[in-house]
Amino acid sequence: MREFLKHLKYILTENPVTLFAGALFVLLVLAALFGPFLVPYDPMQSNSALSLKPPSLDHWFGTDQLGRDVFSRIIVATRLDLAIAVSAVAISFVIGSLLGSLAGFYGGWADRLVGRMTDTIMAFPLFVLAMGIVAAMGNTVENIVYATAIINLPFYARVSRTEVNIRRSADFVLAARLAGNSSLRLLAMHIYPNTLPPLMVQVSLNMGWAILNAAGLSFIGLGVRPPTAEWGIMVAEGAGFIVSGEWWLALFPGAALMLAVFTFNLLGDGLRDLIDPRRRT
Amino acid sequence: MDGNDKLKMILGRLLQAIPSIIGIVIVTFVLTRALPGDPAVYFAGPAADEKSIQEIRVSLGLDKSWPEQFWIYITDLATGNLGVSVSTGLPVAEELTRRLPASLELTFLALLFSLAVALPLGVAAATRPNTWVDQLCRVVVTAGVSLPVFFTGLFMVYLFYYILGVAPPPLGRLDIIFLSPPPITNFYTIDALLDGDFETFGAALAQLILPAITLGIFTLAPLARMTRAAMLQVLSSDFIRTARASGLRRSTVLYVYAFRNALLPILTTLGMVFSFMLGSNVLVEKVFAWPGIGSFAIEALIVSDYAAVQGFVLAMAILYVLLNLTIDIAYTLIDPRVGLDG
Amino acid sequence: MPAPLLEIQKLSVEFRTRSGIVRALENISMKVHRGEIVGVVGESGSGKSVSALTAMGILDPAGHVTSGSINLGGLEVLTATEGVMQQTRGRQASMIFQSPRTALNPIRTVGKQIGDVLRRHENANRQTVREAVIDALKTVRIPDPERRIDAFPFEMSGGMCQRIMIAMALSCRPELLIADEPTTGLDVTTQAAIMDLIRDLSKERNMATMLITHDLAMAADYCDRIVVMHAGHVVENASTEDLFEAPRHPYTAKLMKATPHGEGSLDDIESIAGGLPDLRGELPPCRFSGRCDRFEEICSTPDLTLDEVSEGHFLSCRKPL
Repeated sequence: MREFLKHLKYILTENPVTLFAGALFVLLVLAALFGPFLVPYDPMQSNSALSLKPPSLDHWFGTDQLGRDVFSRIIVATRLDLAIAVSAVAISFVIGSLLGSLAGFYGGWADRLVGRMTDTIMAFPLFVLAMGIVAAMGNTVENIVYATAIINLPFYARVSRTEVNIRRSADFVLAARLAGNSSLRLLAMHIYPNTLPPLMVQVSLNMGWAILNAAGLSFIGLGVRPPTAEWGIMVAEGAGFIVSGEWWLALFPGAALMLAVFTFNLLGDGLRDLIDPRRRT
Repeated sequence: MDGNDKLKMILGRLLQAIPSIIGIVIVTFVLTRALPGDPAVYFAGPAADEKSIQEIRVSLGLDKSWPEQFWIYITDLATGNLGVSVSTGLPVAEELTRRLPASLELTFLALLFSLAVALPLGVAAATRPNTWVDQLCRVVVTAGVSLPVFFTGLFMVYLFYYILGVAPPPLGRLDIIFLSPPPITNFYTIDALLDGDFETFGAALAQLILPAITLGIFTLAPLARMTRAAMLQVLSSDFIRTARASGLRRSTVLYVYAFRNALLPILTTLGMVFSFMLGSNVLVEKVFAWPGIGSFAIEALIVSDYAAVQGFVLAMAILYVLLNLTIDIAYTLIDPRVGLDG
Repeated sequence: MPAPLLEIQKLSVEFRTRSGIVRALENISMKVHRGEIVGVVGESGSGKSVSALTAMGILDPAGHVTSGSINLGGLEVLTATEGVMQQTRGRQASMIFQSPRTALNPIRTVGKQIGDVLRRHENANRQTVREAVIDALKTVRIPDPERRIDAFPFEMSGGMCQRIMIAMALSCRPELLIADEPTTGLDVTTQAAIMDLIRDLSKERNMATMLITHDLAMAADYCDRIVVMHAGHVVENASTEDLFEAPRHPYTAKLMKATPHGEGSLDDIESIAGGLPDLRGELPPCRFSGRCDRFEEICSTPDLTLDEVSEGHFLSCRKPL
């Protein structure tokens, strides 16, 4: 543990980028938790007298076609965007790693079944599959979450399958087996915990992608509906005003989205360095 | 190894694509049957009575058992029948084939752009580690994957159309003052060239450039990252040292020895890149009002035109399988070891 | 005696790494004459390969030459331009490496790889290159060269691959051949065949040959002269006969005791205590002093040099045997 903290300190001081990403992450979490209490305006309050005003001291990011404050809407949207991504990643993490470990541990038909399943998902361009799933299951926010979870599933299943498979015959596992532990207990208590670090790296690298996917789906009109504040749909609503020069409607929420994805990607790289110093590039 | 063995291996690759295609067919079938509610009610419209709903149910084959429905679905697919789009009233297969060239033209140009930037950048970064090129590569790689493709697109439109006024309005494949070129390949740029009409060619290219670059920027990152990593690894391998010890020219060492070996992992990444590309294609088509299969699917999604969405998902998946097959075959042709180590 | 083909004088090389400066070579000198096989012997990390790579001008970019000179057949290697060195490598001086399977390009036929070297250094068209490649394969006694020319490295055994490497290295008839552990990773019978081949070709072509190995017994069998290296220093340099008759440096003596011989049992083998010193930071004048049982005060006086103690016998030790 002391080694780990020392390494953590090394990573943070050695790589200011990771420190920066950490700070951004804290900011995002704060905005998600307390955003609605902090914003200067009601994100839903329209005011036709103030429509399409460019950024000013009163309205930092300007106002939209209904006179709503873009800055407030972006801050408030953080919660929904992160919630969609976090729940999608959580679902694919739990189900994917469960299936993957069973496949890696038992091998045989379980392995073939899980392998065939992940291969079938991967046979589609993933975003297109997500579109198909939302179209089939119904155009709701929950289904955006499920669709994003399904297309991320193969990554977790594959990582945990490999990790469990490597460890199945490791010395400490054999020792536990000789001590009379049952197979399932062995998997749950001895092998699975050891596969968590690489899976955590996968999670943080995956978060950014999940956010992008979910926002992409709402950009094309799936899931989130107006007047809900969400980055993807805000960009979609603002897109029409770009050609007439009202750039702040689309570009600010787009930039927020980019910042969030950027944060998770940087964090993922940092976390990978932390957990696996050898794979540093 | 002779050409015959290669041919056998390529045939083997083709066979390996069959399970994927079976999986795709099953998934698309399940997706339509999993539809919420009763499709017949939807197709019949709000004013329909019980009798007309029943008629539609029969005409759609929804009264039959699942295995029967699946059999009908497969035979329809085999004859190229993807159903009729309720929003346009035309057969889905016809709609898709009409719009596919627009999507392909965009995707190919984007891929070309992405390769033309990513490969040299990755090679330069790997041969000059820790210089400004390497730093640039790192920035591009990290920023590239973080950019939502629709954000990049809109930003480009704002900058190049609204502010600078150098790009045409983002409204489809060709400005309305031009007539589309005589259809041969249905790629407007190529058809215009074949027709010798350079003005139309220029106009078509002008429409293409922004969406292609938008799409290309997104896929550039994984390619550049892999090129850099693969080149770094190959350049540190023993046979590069041998080549240098034999006095081979730097260019020979770099391109004939290092780059060709690095191509193998790059090709593998290309599979993932195509997945990104076909997905982002939909978003880019919406931003630029591009009349490809992506915008067709979006319109269909909004009005719950299921046959159209299903046809779109199927078409994209088959396209993706074909692209992956091409990659596999290229891999087989480049690497003599393929198929020999199991 | 004629001028040596390769002369390394007072060469020092450092590696600048994140964890400090590694003094990989310090003031090393050695000569290799035409028709002579010189063995460079020492544990891994003693600087054998670094010396060879520096002589070829292909040292890793992290390595820096801080002093010394290398003369290769009249060419000043350390000041020559990269272009000149490229033309020298493969033509005047060639090098072969260990693990021949990974030292060849895996996705290019062996014939093309040898052809690349030939085309680089000699004016040849497609047809004459193919003939020259077949000749080169014949030289290294590869059976059925007309068929083997189109094979890939993975289709050949390790011994065959090493023959290919030798064919490639010798295709332009160089005057200097550096063989860096050429038999590591090959089985014992193949080792002997490869070493016989290298010796026969060296003698036949009157080449200057540097054989880098950690195997003193092999050096004894094939070399005319042996240079013993330890931790970036040359500690002893003598003709094979002299060296085995009367080793003067304690390290050489220990190395001999650590090498199995034909006669005597395995019980006679002694290992050398300790490991190589860390080459970062301050080092004593004699880098063996930490492992030496003859160490005395005098060994710590600075400016230890490599001196000729008898004719053709060089030594760097203050308490020699």
